[in-house]
Amino acid sequence: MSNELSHPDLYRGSGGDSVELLGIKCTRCGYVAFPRQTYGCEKCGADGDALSNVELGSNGTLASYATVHMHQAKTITAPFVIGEIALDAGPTVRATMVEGDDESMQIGARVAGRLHPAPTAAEGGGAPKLELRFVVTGARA
Amino acid sequence: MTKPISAFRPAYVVGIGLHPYQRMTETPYPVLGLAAVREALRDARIDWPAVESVYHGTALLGMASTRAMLRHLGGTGIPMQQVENASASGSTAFRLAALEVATGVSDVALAVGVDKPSGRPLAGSQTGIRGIEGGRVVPFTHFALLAQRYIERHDASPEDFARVAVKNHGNGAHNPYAQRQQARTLIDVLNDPAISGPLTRLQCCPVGEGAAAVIVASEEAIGRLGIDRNRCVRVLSSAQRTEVVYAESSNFDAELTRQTTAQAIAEAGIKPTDLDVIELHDAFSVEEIFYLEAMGVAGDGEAPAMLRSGAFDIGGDVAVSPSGGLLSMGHPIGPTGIGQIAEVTRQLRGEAGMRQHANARLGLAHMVGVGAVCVVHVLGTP
Repeated sequence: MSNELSHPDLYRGSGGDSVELLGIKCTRCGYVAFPRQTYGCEKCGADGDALSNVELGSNGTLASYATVHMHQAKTITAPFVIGEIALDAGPTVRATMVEGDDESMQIGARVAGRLHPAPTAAEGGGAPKLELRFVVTGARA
Repeated sequence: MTKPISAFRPAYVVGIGLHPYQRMTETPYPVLGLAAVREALRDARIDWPAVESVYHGTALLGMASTRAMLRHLGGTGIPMQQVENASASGSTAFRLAALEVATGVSDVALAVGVDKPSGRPLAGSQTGIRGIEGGRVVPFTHFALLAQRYIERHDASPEDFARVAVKNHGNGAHNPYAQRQQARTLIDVLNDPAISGPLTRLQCCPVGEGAAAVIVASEEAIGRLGIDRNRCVRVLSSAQRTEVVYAESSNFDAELTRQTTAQAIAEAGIKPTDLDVIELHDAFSVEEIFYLEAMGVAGDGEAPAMLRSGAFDIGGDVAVSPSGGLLSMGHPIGPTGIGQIAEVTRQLRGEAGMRQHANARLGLAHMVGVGAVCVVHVLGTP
């Protein structure tokens, strides 16, 4: 896992296939949130030391999905599939799925994060950066 | 102690005007705005010097847009300001104008909305906090995700959402101010290019340019200026809220709408089922389904069947988006919420022609804005 991460502030590899999303937990009200920030808790307003860093893993359940057929940005090539993932750790996040179509998507399916080569290679022909995507790992319980 | 708008003196909509919503052109924005304001003045049969205050709903024009436009009506020295609140900019400008008149600070206030598309990013992209989706989740995909959840939860189908676009384009076909003035069949909507999830192009609103204006006046001004009382529509309530942290699995936009609408309905002293006309934020077809249920006009999961039965048609139980809504009339941002007030006023006056919902006495206007904000007004015949 020597490739650079696209957003090391948001997630990190944790050995093998595993990925950890980097979140925060408010020690005053208990609210768990992603991504990390120090501005203040969205639920109760506590800031500074009240927000402690936690690792959220990347296992969760598919809450929804959509195949996106067009996108205005020239740097983003459609189609692609967006998943809405209810992380076991609490927060719901939205991310690109590894799968290129929605045939295997089922709300309630088990999903997990993977580090996936980003679409645009690094300048100078270096190794592509790795970005976080999610993949279906199991059927709906 | 705080008081709702209804606890102050009555505020009335006395004049409405629009510049048609359209694809972006080279037309400078003052041309759009002045057309709408002059039409509103003619509609109220008053002259510009009678206006005492201006709130200009605009999200995209940039700094100091208002006087650069309105000085061409003749300078009278009155206070003017821009009001930016995302898609609810116009609704917020109207709320401020209505509050100013109700509380007695002014007797006649103008709410005007003017916008032209700009490529500027939202401030939300400059907060220093970014997500993992890398710009791949734009509004149509946000609503496509909510749509897929609704399909799963209520055993609904993409046709249920497409029918919203069929109804609203049918209404907009009779609206000379609408950006899309063409009736569409269910096949037209379903066969249109796919955008995201179940949403096709005709289920996504066009964002172009345009203008809308509404004049709000007090009882005293109506008498003093000789305004026709039969054409005045009363502002019964005004509610504005922002999002809080909801349960992770909830539809945040629907929750915000549920709370804000409940407040507006309660302040007006009515029930959701009393409404004759609703103009709501149907930027994407699925939103109309979500919000009708959140408002309590339809039970949970019941909006698609009611839509199929014609309950939301002009002439049905309640006319929903009789203007054509954002889907057909268009969504030029700043003007949109004020255009809704103009449509509700036209309906309550009985002046909506081909789009008239018979005996309309109570109307509601609802906008949500990214961020997320919600503004709801209830209007009634005097």
